[in-house]
Amino acid sequence: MYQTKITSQGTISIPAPLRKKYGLVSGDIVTLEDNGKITIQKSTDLASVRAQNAKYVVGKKPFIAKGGDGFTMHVLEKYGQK
Amino acid sequence: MAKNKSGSLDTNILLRLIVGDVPEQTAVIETLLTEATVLQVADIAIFETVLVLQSYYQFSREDIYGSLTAIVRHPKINCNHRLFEQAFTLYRQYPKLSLVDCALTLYAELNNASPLYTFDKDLAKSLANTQALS
Repeated sequence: MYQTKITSQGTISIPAPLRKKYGLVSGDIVTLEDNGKITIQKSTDLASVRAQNAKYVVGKKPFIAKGGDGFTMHVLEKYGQK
Repeated sequence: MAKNKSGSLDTNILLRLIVGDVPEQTAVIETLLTEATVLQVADIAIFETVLVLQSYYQFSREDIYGSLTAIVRHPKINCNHRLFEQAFTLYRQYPKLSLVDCALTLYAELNNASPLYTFDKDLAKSLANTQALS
């Protein structure tokens, strides 16, 4: 458990061991969630998410969902077509 | 495009943000995210996105978890955080359960309407707050 003081401007410092543990560096954006207590989570850059996912795109046309056909495709795949 | 915009995002927007397979559309959405104050994402858009990633793009469960938590935690995106933070954690933890199974159990819990009655024995065995009917 760590303690940190809130400044008059409302800012806090994240203790160094936690920054190190969660890979938080200057300039990172974190999300604060109000769920009865305040949870701080590191936000992931979406460009790095896309880079990680590039392997799934090879040889596939972009899927453009229309009229809920994402659901239809899944239901047909899971339960079969009559 | 005017700054400080707000609005909502549909399934295709989420897909392009996660998959990036239409680069010009991804660029438009990134600009929108930069300029918007907050953008809403409905529960149903998140469910459809997961189904498409799973069925069409054949994403692994771990990559679905990583991609969707990045969306849910994005500072400009407002969605049902309370549900999805927990639902994606369960989805990652229990490979036999679908996101829908996990979310239904949590909807019941968050709405003080547990247990979730089901015929799905895998679900009932895996999660508390569920009860199998025979």
